[in-house]
Amino acid sequence: MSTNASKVCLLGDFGVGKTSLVARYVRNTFSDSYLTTVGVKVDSKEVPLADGAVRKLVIWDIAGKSGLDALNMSYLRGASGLLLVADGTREATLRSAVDLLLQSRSLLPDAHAILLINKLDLVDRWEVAPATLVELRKSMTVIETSARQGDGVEQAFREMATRLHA
Amino acid sequence: MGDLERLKHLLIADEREVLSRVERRVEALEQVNAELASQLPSLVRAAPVEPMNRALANPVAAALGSAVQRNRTSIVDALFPVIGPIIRKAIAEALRGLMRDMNRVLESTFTPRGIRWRIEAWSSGLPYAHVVLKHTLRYQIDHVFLIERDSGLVLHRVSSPGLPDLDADAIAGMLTAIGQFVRDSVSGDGDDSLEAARVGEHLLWIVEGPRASLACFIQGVPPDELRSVLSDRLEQIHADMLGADVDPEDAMETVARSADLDASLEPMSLVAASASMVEQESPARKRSARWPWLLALLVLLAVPGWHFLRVERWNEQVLQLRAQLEKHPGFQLSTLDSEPWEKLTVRGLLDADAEPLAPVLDAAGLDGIRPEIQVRGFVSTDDAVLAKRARRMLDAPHGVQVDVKDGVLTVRGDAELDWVTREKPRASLIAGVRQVDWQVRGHDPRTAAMAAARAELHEISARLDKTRVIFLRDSEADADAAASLGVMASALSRAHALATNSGIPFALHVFGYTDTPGTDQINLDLRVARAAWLRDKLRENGVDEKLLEGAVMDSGASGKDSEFRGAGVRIEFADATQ
Repeated sequence: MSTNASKVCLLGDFGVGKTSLVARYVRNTFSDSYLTTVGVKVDSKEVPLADGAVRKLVIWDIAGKSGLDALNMSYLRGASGLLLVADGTREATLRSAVDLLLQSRSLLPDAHAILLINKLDLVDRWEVAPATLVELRKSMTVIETSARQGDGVEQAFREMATRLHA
Repeated sequence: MGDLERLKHLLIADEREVLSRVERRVEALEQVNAELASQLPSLVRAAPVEPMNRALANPVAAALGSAVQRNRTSIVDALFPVIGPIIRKAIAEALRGLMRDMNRVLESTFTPRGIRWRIEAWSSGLPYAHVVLKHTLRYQIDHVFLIERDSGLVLHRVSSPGLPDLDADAIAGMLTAIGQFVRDSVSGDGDDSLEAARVGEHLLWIVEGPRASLACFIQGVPPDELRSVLSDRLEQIHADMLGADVDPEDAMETVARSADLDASLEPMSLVAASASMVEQESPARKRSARWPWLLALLVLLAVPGWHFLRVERWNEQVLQLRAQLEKHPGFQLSTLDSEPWEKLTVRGLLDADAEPLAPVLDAAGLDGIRPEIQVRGFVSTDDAVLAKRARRMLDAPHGVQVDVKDGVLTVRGDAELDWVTREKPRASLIAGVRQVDWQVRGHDPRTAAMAAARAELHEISARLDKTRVIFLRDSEADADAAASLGVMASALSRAHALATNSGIPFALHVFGYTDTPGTDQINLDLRVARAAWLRDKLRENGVDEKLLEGAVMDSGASGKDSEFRGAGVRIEFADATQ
């Protein structure tokens, strides 16, 4: 396999900023119009790790939905990592992200999962309570990100690459 | 413990111990056997793969064969959902290939380019398909991706040199996603998959396997054999995965990293392999592709050829018929209108004495085409017709020969004078006769009849002279008298008839004969009596009465002249020469 590539799927409700996160981090090979047509857009990013190795993430940005239909489930096949994205300003998107995680577990029981709470730049309008985040961190990795300002984005992908490399 | 028990203990204590151990072991084995059925699946899963595969290969194959024989229906029912789609896919692929071939042939057959290629194929001896392939199947393989089917990750990648770099993982991922999207959108739960996509000169072929797919990025138009080559390569990769002595989960990665894969998926290697396959299939294509064209060409040539030969045959037969008609005596051919194997009209002039035309037309062999005859009468000067006309008009008797040559009528032979006198002047009046050569000897039939009669009378006379009635005594004829009388009566009746018909007068003499003894008077009386006896007997034998009445009863013969006793007759008539 070329340079230890791994498939990572980006899941989250509509408008949570998945595509912006990818756009912030990776080279855009394909148009965003694939998201509205095919329902997915694939990009890749080579992530340098602390030990000097390089892990390539093939990122499947799956169109925003609160649930996974058969097509989206087929997009998940073979994924090693899941980046679940929620909008901090909309608590409902956090529930959607958790639901998506639970659904995808049926297909990917061993995939690494990281929850990204996006729109950190609007933290003053967040509906997600800090206590909720504390509780979530007990069961999974949670990273606050801002696609607009870039906060936490690289950290999130590096964290995923590190876990996949381990 | 009683004495008996103590004794038993002393005697068979060891055996009891052994028996007890055996019973415990049997119970343990039975327990293991009882639990084996439930433990067998997990034991099989836990067993090392390769030894287990080797151990189960033969029993599983034998069991499968036995199951197919005994439970064919169940096996068929179980395999049907699998086999059906495979068969449909194979048929669909074959039909698509057929349609492509037909389209290609149809598109190229009737164009100037197609005609040029066909001429090239005929002149070079190569099959047409080969020439078409040579001109149309120019292509280049840019990239070959080996993609893990589920994840869409690139397992291996080979690209032609000099091409700009591309994000193979993203492309492979997107390709996989689109393939899944297309499969989900088009075929639902089916196993069909995206096999090709084309944008202008760029073509993407995808060959899918159970665990990995090959994506081939092509410029131009590749031959179908390239897909076969890609399928072969992918099958080999899967075979290598099965043969790899590693965990199945890692087999794909192991194979993908093997050095042989670069050579196997090298674009130039794939192009060469497909070209080789095209070459190998050429003879078969040549055989299968040329005969329909030869057949079509044969039909195209046969139809006008057959028509040409048929018209030629008709024309030849009409030509022969024309020659026959032109030679036909008494017929003057004007026109011979023919429509091959449809109609034939004969127009001309026909002499009434000419032979009919029907036998000539029937012998022409026009296969049921009945010629229409339109003739008008005329007088022919053909020798044959003139001869026929002359014979008809002259009514030539037997002994007269009638011939015509160059318009000269020759009549030769013997004929009655009356006919000669009547017909000779008419001969020169026969239409068409230019000159008459009359060589017929005329004769009077009465003269001939008299001569014949006279000759016969001579013969009768000679016969009568030799016939005599012998007398034993005076008037007692011998035993041969009756026969002699019959001969005499018959000859006399014939002579009388000849004389009457021919007008030749003759005289009948009846003689009596005596020998020398006796007196003259007695002998005379005897001669008279014997002559009279003979006349009476002749009358009794039917000789005409008038003839007998006019007979000369000659009894003048002297006994000295006679040497026998008897009677006889003689006829006398005037000879023509006298």
